[in-house]
Amino acid sequence: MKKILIHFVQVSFIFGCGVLPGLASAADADGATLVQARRCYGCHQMTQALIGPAYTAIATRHAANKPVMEKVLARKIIDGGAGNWGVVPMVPNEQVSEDEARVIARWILNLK
Amino acid sequence: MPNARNRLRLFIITLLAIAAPALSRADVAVHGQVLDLNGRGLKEVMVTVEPGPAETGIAAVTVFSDDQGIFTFPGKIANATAANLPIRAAKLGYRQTEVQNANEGAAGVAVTILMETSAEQAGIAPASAWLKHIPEQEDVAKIIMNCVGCHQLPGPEVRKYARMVHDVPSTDPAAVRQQSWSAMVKYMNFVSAEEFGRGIVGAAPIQPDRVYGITDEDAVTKVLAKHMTGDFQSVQGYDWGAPLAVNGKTVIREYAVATPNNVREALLLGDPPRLWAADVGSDNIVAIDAATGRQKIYTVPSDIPVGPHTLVAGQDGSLWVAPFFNGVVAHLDIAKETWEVWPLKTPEGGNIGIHDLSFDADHELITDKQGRVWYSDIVNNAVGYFDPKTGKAEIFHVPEKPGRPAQGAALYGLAMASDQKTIWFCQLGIASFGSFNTETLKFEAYESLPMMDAGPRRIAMSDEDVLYLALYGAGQLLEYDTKTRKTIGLYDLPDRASAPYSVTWDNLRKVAWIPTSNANVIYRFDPRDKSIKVLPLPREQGFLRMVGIDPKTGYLATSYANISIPVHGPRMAVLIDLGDGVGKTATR
Repeated sequence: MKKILIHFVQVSFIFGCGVLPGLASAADADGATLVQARRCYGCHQMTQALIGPAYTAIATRHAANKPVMEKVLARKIIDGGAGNWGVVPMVPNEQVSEDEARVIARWILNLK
Repeated sequence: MPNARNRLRLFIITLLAIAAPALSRADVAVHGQVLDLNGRGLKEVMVTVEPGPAETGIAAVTVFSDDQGIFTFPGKIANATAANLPIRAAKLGYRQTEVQNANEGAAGVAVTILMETSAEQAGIAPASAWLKHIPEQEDVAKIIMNCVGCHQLPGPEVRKYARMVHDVPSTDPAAVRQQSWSAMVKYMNFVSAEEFGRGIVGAAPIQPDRVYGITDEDAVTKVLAKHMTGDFQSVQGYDWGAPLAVNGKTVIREYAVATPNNVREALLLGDPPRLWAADVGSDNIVAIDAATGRQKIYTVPSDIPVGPHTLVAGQDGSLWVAPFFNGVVAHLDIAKETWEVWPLKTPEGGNIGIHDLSFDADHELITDKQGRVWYSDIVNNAVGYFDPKTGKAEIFHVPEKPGRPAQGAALYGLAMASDQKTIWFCQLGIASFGSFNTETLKFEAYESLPMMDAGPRRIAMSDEDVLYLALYGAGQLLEYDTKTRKTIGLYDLPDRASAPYSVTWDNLRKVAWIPTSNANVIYRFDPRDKSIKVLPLPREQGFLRMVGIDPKTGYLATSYANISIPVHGPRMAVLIDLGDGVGKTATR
């Protein structure tokens, strides 16, 4: 960790670690915005597996069961856990609210 | 008019019934005793009153029980009654079983707290307790140096993830751990890059692929996979490892700072005393009245974002502010509320990345004999000066240290000797320290520590020019005589997974204080007999960095400096009255 910090210190001026820009509510933010704001893209990309599965792969797997999976996926986003895509547990994301998780889940499922 | 009289009586009774509970909620004195289940008084129990989540102001007050288990809170607790007193007690090896409050009228509330012995320490012992089983200090150092720079390990979030890894059904749990911790290290490298890169004007978004290949990644993964075993639900057998530096008069006040904040470090200045806290996530310094908790924001007037990081008191009671690794130095006259700001560049127009400013044994800013302020430059692996009169700045690159990597030195802490000629610095990344003569402009002493991950961070100079280095990764304190250029001693701290971030010389008590990032304690080292004591703090994830000593009151000022966004730990300013009679009492 320290090395990446030092790397960035060396290549640029750093002003501090401010707080993520707040999103007024889930209603005014679509899923694409939220996955950026909540750092989902640290593990997931649109079409390729990274640490976790691609968004499109998740959408494809659950295409037949969207209404149920929206709730399940939202819970998974917040709580994390292993089981669906190999043995590596997903990181819990307790900073994501229930409403935001539902918006993200809906956005993912609608990719298919 | 009997009906009218009755109506009036009814009205008064109703009014009293409504008002009575409110009237009974007043500021009350609180005292009491902690007993074990045999009725014996328990000493050194941490007793905290915390009214509830506070936006700003005094969030909690903590005292310790004396030899008879008796404790007394200073002053009065606001809006409290015997029925609603939010009080709790904590002591390693015990758990609270019952609290009985009795209203004593004008005398306030008398509290009796019963505690029973308990082997379970989860929720009381610090994060470092979960690493005590690791015999290899090199492995501990690897974890501390790579992870604890940003968050405690294992803090609650990490323990939760470790439990998930533990719970994965598999015939090969070692392989699961290896894959899972590899993924986590990759992810955290991404988070770190994104977080520390925020604020770079025009910077492209961080691409995960770009930060997944950190050099240390495999080594860190291996160590985590090896040692982060079990379900992390229980921890036992931890002790502070040394006598406590508290008594029945010790008081710890914790101050909530308006959110969002990234409080980095704090010191006490002014009359009446105020805590000055640097918010590295903004350009703000938060001034907190120590007695009332009332706060005022001072924004550094700079076109360039500053990110206040390092605070140093001026000899005249003013405040010097160094930035988060850029070249802006600021000075606040706290009486006149006027700022001076110097955006520094090298004579060639190069960038400067300031970390620490030169200070003396009182931890007050000190210049060389020409009036130049010296600083450590973490970006350029250099030391440098600037002249406040002219704004001129210059840096001097530290030569390569034989046997140590040329890159990643991370020149970190800096202090000046009493001759006002020699500055001493340390390098976090290559476990080295040395001196620079500000008159000849030559580097002189240059020493290395045996362990590459020893991790010297913030250093201190005593009034006898003894240099103290807290070794973050090694969990040790180095005592070095700068006059003879010889090591006096290298001391294991009681908890070597404690991640000692800094050391501050206490010129009143002639001791060194060593705050820790991973153990929720501040160690007290006495150079006269080389003894160590422990000052425990009352809050989980109390991620400590610097400690300031107020020369008038003898109080210690510090902060819970969880700056990393995903960490849910506290971000607060903290004031500690040791109750040892040193300095004059100001707020008790």
